[in-house]
Amino acid sequence: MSENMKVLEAMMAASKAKDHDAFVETTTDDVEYFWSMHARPIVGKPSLRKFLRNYDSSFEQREWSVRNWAEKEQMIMVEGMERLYDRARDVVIDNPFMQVVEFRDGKICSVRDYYDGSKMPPAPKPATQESAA
Amino acid sequence: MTTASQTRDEPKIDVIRRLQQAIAAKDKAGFLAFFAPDVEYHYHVGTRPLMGRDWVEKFITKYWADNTGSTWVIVRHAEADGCLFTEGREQYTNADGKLVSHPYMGIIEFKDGLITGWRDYFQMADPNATK
Repeated sequence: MSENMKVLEAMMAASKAKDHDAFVETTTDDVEYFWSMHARPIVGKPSLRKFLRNYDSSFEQREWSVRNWAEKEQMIMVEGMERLYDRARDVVIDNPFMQVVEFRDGKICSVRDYYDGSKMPPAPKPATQESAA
Repeated sequence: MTTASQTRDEPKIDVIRRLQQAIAAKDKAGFLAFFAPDVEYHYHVGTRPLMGRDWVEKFITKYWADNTGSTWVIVRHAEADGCLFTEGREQYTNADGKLVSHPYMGIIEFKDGLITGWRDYFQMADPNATK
């Protein structure tokens, strides 16, 4: 296993352990994280740390698995699956994704995630008085 | 025409560059020759896949009839275990005259020189489109 793949696995392990310090430690100071390709990226460790806090308040990541991957120079391309628990909607979501992870000096400097966020299941209808009774 | 045996040992990105040429020329027979008869083609992960080369033919026939000005740019790629990973952008004008553009990643699987699996990941509807 390459040194860069070890760094990515360390990030995945930190995510699983909900260890934000260890997660952020795998990145460069100027890390750029495109959590959606249709949104502004998260830039820098302080913003990444804030993003992780906000994310954890909305979702619990129950699985982050790599199915296929390829490495080229300072880049790893991944196909994987994440399973999320959506706290507000009380639903579990399987989110297939691909991502590009780029490295500099043994740290992750850029991540770009590709998936279809619109495929997330709709929020459950609010309980009516009848059904809630 | 390049045969499947020729593509077997060729870098996968070169195979896909030739497939792109077939697309640009709207050479349907040339395009379909890259696929295995039992290919599973997810042109969008999250939508029902196309199963088999005949279904791919129906899809590409409609795609070329409905869309114009199609551009497919591969920005980065890597290969491993008979798979080609790509990151890029696709752009076209649809039947309603609307410009559709999305960044994407894809993985293309090969066996015996033919494409057996293809999965493209992107957000079908741009969440910023109505803003």
